[in-house]
Amino acid sequence: MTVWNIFRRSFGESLRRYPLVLIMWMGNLIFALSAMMPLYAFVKNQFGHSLTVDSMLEKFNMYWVSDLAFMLRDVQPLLWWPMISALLLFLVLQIFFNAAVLGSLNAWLEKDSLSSFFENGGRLFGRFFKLFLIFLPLYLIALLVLPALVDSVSSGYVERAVNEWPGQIVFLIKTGVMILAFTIVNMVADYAKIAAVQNDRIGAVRALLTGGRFLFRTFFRAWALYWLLVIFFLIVSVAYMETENLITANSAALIVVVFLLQQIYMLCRYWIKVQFYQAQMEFFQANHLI
Amino acid sequence: MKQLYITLIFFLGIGLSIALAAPPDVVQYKIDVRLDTSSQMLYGKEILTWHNLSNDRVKDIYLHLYWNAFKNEESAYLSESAESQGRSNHSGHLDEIEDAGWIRLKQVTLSDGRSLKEAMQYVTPDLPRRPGDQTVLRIDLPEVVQPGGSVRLHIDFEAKIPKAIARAGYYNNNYFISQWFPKPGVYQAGKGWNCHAYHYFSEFFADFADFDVRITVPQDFVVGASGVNTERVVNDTAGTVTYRYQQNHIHDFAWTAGQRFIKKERLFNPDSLISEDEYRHYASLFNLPLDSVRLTPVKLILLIRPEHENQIERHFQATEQSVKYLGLWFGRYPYPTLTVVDPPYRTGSSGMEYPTLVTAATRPIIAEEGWIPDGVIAHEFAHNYWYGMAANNEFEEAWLDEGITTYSEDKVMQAMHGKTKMIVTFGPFPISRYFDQIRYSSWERARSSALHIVETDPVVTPSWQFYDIYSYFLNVYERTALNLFTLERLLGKDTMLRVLRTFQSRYRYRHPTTQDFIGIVNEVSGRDMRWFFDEFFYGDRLFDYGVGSLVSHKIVPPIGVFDSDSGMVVVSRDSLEGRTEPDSLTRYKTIVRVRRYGQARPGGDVRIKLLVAFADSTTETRYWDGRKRWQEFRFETAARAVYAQVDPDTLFLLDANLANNSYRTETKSAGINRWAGKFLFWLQNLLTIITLIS
Repeated sequence: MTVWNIFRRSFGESLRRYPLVLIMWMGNLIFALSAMMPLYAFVKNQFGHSLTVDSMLEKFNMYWVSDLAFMLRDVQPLLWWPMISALLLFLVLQIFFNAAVLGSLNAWLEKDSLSSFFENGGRLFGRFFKLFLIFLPLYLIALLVLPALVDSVSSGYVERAVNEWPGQIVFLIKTGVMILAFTIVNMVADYAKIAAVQNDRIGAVRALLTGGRFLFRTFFRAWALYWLLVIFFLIVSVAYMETENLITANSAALIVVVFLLQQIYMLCRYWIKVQFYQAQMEFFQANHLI
Repeated sequence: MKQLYITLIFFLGIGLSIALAAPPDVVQYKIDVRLDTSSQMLYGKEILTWHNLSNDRVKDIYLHLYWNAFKNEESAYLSESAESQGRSNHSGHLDEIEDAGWIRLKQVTLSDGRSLKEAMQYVTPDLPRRPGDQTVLRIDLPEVVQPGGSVRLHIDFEAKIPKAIARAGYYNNNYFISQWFPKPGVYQAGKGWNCHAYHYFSEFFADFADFDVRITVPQDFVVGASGVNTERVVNDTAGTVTYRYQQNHIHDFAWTAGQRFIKKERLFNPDSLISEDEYRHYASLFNLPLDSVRLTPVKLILLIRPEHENQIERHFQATEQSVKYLGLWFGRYPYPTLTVVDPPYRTGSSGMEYPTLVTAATRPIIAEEGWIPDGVIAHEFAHNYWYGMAANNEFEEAWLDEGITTYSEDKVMQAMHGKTKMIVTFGPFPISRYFDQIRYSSWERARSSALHIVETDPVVTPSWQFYDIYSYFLNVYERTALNLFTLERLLGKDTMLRVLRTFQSRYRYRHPTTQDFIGIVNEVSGRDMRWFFDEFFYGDRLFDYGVGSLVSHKIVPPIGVFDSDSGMVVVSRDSLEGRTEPDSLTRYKTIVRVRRYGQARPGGDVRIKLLVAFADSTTETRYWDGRKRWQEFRFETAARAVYAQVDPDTLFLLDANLANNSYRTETKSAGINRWAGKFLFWLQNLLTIITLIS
């Protein structure tokens, strides 16, 4: 099966698995809502009776932003740890969700339900968490070590520069290297997870090796599929941003419209995530079994 | 040829007008300097003549040797930098010892040949003492300089050019040379020499002087410098070229040399840029004869790097607009030339002011209407008024130049572009498409940062005594600009322009102080505004007024037992029920309590205005002196109050919390919900991005 065909099939199949998308989106929405509620209550308390609220309907007004920043100046340092803790908690939740989604996609004959979703998540969570720990250093290498390496290799070139361009070119190369390395690590991690789902008996390390071996044989096609999905995501994102850019939410009705648009975009993000897994799983099945 | 003729005419004309308007220069410099690019050295001979214009008998002279700030880590500059807790400091600058910079006086003699070598001593005039600092040198003179007398020093010096630091130095054989020559401090009658060390957060102070400088560089170098280039002598044998620059009535001299400059010239022609209506408007505003507000041509010289060649027009336009508006507002720019330098890459010298020479700042790709380079040029050129001509002591009262300049730059930018557009970049590329909505006025920007340091230091603080570099920058730039925008609202725009024009014309070629500025404000406005400066320039207290509470309800007859002529009358709630009054008789009682949340208070004739709006679209206004912590205002009206607002015209931009300035009886959430939705969406996206690694 060609990469394009897999992409097309996964498009339709992931739409059919909309309950998975809805559960992930709900998880994200509820978590984000809970995280921002204290701030919302604070802002409502401080601004609810003020005429300043009217300026919040303008495109941008710096007065109230400055007021808010000034009000929060003393508590900002206190917010860091709760924020980091919340992010870590969501990360763990997302590992569970990934396990649940991939487990559900693998059991394609079963009907998606909340109980099957959580059952799959619970069954696979341990191995997915181990895979997360295994891949964490690789992500750090991709995001921190490799850019630092590019910096050190190019420092002489940048030092000798007579204008800004060498520095800017190095910045773009660094960003490119970071993105490429990240996508590769991300792709390997995805196939390791798929391998773990496909074979209940193998542990995290064997799943990693299986995924790695698979990619060794099919790297460029797998990468092409990965980028096809990334490009699809970028197209959806640009379409959203262009649409949102057209609307100035200065009335209650338009605020609701923009909110709905934002949530549709979030649904699309999770749909594409499911499609990502669906496509890669199909690609794995099509090439691994043969 | 015609242009040359015009140029000569206006050089002569302006030279004459300066000579008529300005007091005599205190110092004369004749400097002959050679740039050695193989060793990054300057070799100079300087004849320095200092005139004693005071009535004091002066027995010594203090010289700034600024580049010794980069000599070793005992200098005030580097030690203060290292102590600034690693925040944007220069620690590590001397890791490569050839990056150091220094200046050494090889020989100092009087005109009769007597050496002063033995009479020289480094001094550390500021606290805390940095005994290792060598940026101030005292020379005891063998004879007292009598009032009206002068002393002439012949100085033979050599200076190691530092690798780019603090807007001076070299990078890849490109040079920006500032604060490079032995320069006397400012002698203040009755007080002695004002000659501070070179501090980490400080700029400079010097007397007006007549400069005659010869700069020798390799033949393939392009040079830009303060003043007018009056001579060019090529020495083919040595492979060098010597440029001579002359300018009087300036207090500093900077120059740049590099192989990669494109040099362009253009005449600022006021006739094509300023209409008669504009002249008439400003003549009327300042109550001056029409001819005295007219501007004169200025030769604009642009040194720009090849990679920015496509921005030549943009640089010239920004310069022309700056010369136009600042000239119309604060008086004509009196010098014949203005050199704008797009400084050599990584010399770290962008965005800096020197008399008749400013450095811009740009990027290879710039956005339309962005602050870069227009705002930088406007800011640095404005310094030619505030620092250049009204030459305050930047060590001690930096707000007088940086703050007024930031305010002036903001006014020029408003005149050029209106609200500033936020520019967002990815590497070199502007990606502002999705941030296009974000535009802000200068005072909004200033307010956003200034509020945070109000309680850290007063604006009027010696530069090196600010708590940290943020307090220094935010106080002298942004908080001052915010204060001046507030002053503008209190006095009115026209009065504020008159204040600044008067301040400029009164103190042009002099050294004004904060007290001089306050005097001009009071004089021009006819009001006593000392309280404003005491509170917001010398003070460090937050200003915050707000509506504490607003209660508005229908007036109903009181219940209870009342005395009457016929005995006791009982009015119960039950007896009132069912009684209806016509709407026209219904009255409402409104009680507003206004609070002073901050410590700062208004003074003089300024009052806090309270506006209360009612449901029948009527309003009531009250004024409060704001001295007590709170004040109650009562209203009895035909309609219920809708909202109360203090300072409804937002005169006090520096109010720390504008949100509490108003109180509406009913809550409205649409705006909050809009931004809550946005924030929720950003948070949701952040969560999905973070979890890419899951």
